[in-house]
Amino acid sequence: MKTVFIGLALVGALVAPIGAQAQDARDIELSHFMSAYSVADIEAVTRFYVEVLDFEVVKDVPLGDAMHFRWLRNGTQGIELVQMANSQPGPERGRPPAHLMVRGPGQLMVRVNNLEATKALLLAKGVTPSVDITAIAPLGIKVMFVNDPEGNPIEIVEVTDG
Amino acid sequence: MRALWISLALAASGLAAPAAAQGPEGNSALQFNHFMVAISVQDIERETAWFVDNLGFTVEKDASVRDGAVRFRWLRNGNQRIELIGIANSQPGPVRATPPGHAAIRGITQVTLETQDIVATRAALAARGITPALDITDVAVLGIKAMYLLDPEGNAIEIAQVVGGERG
Repeated sequence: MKTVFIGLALVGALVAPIGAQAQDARDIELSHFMSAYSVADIEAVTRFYVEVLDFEVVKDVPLGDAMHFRWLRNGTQGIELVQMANSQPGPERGRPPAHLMVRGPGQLMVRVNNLEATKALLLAKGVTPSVDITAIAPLGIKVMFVNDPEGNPIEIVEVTDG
Repeated sequence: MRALWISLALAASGLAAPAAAQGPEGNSALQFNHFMVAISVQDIERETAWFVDNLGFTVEKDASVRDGAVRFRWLRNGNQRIELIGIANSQPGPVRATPPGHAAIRGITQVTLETQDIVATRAALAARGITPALDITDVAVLGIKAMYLLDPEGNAIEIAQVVGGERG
């Protein structure tokens, strides 16, 4: 754990606080940028997202052994992979949807126009959904889950109602 | 834990019906668009109030199944959606350090939202009584300025402004 701290200190050395200047408060306008995953093996996880889910690497910033940032994008979905020296495994989560019994961020949800076609493309790449296509009528969506090599669930969604 | 599993399985069976799979329509690459990030929460009302009152989200959808044992609430600000899910008897996640140390535990670590003016956003948050867990910081190697907030249950929200010209 001490090494993790040293790693974080190195990251801290790379960044410099900026004095915030007072401005009038106004409505906050935000938009999607990314979702971040802390991973143990950034190369293996990258291969999955690039070779299976057709993301592209849009930024790659290795910082020695301490930290490695990699940004991925497919359409409007951004993912930031972060590999940190001596990171620790997250909690054991069950197979979706039971993974949500452990609180905190549960899954990334990406939208497709045709879930069946997406499933067929995944099967052609040897990827079987961890939860097969399922209609969730109260939410007006159909979904399936796949898991990346480190077990992070990705929910693939087709909106069926509106 | 076994009871929790059974409970969730019942929830799933109550709301879900398998849909028939059909053949592919083509062989093009997979194309995705952002939809949401799902966050499992203990107090869905408190979490909703925080995102709505402080970050300008609006409630887009509110649904529940199993007599309210599983609750879904979709929040939206611009093109960012967050799905809050409240499940009876859910268990706490790991205790994470203050960002950026929170990433020392693997898994999904944060939702990152983009702003065009991070200083103005910080001022607007301050007017609402919100203090960043990590103040505005120049992350030059990534071409962004970023700050972190923690929601009432400790989930990290990163707010970033691209300053390096390339959004990635």
